[in-house]
Amino acid sequence: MDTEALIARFAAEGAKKPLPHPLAIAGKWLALLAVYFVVMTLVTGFRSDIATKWAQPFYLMELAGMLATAITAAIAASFLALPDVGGRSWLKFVPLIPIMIYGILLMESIASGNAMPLIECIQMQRYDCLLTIIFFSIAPAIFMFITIQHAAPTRCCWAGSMAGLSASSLGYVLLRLIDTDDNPSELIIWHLIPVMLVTMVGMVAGKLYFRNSALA
Amino acid sequence: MENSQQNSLEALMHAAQRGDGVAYAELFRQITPLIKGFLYNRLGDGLDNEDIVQEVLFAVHKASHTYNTDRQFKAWMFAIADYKLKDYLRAHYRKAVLTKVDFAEIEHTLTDDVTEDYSPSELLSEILGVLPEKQQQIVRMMKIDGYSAEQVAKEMKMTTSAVKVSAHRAYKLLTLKKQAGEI
Repeated sequence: MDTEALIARFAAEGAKKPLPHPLAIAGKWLALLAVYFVVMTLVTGFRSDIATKWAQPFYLMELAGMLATAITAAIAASFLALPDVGGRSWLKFVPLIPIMIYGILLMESIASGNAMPLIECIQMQRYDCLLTIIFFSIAPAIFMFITIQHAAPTRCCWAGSMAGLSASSLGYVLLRLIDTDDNPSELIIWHLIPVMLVTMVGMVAGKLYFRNSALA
Repeated sequence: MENSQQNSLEALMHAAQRGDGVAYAELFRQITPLIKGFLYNRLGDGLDNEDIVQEVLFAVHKASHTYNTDRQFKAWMFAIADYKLKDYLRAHYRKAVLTKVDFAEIEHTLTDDVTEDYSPSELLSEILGVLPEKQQQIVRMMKIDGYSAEQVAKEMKMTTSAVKVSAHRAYKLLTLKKQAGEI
């Protein structure tokens, strides 16, 4: 087809109405995640020692860190849905900061001898934690993926991994409100590693699924 | 000049998003040379530039709803152009790899002695002899007997994708053997 004819066709079809600002999209996601969070906690109930745990700074810091990861990853994913990432490609690194700080703190606890040896922890085979995090992550991740796919991501792997990280971080927080295990080794092996796993699955899924975006 | 063009591109897009078809057409007329220049710098004129230019224009049109802030239009447009260019090159090289081994080409590069001593079918048998049995059969059926991948799959009770993968590996092996001077 001749380029001028193609342009005439575009003009006849017209430009599409612009999407809301990425922050507005992220805000919508986070509002829905908050509703999901409340519903899930109402369904599953809190851990038996929640009153004691609220008084522990490390526990609060842990939840705050993972919530910060979930929120910043959702914001990064909403910008990554745009072809030029809204000119803020550095945003994708922000969610890694709280999760890395938290991971380092957990490693430090293990190094100081306050935790179960990692090998013993692996032998505990807490696949229920892995499955719970995956279960909690599925609905928010699907919702985010569908929204991103309607935009036009050019960094598909990053967009997918940020959606996966946001959803799984939320799953982590939910699990920590339910599950009574606080051992640092367990938190790394059966909580943080599943978060990384969901993030990687998100990366691969992003690469495959976002091929069908508006740029396909 | 640069700034005035940038402003006008952004203004045209905003007008287009408010339903102005004339502004939209003007926008595409203004960006076509920019996209051509962008692609020419990266591809030269060796590849089919007009096709890829139209693909980029089409992608810009399809993604027009993602230009939703006051950021630079060009940054947004070139991000799309870059994505489509990479996509195009991936497809191009994939196609180039698959068509790299041509039997006629192999035959021409063989030494005179070999062609004098063997008939074409013997020669092909010897070339294919470097492949495992199954790959030999697939290449024979697809390249000599003219079967499609689907027909080979049916005959050999394999999936079509397995046949394609196997054929691809066979071509690759033949290329390597050829480069090593073994055939």
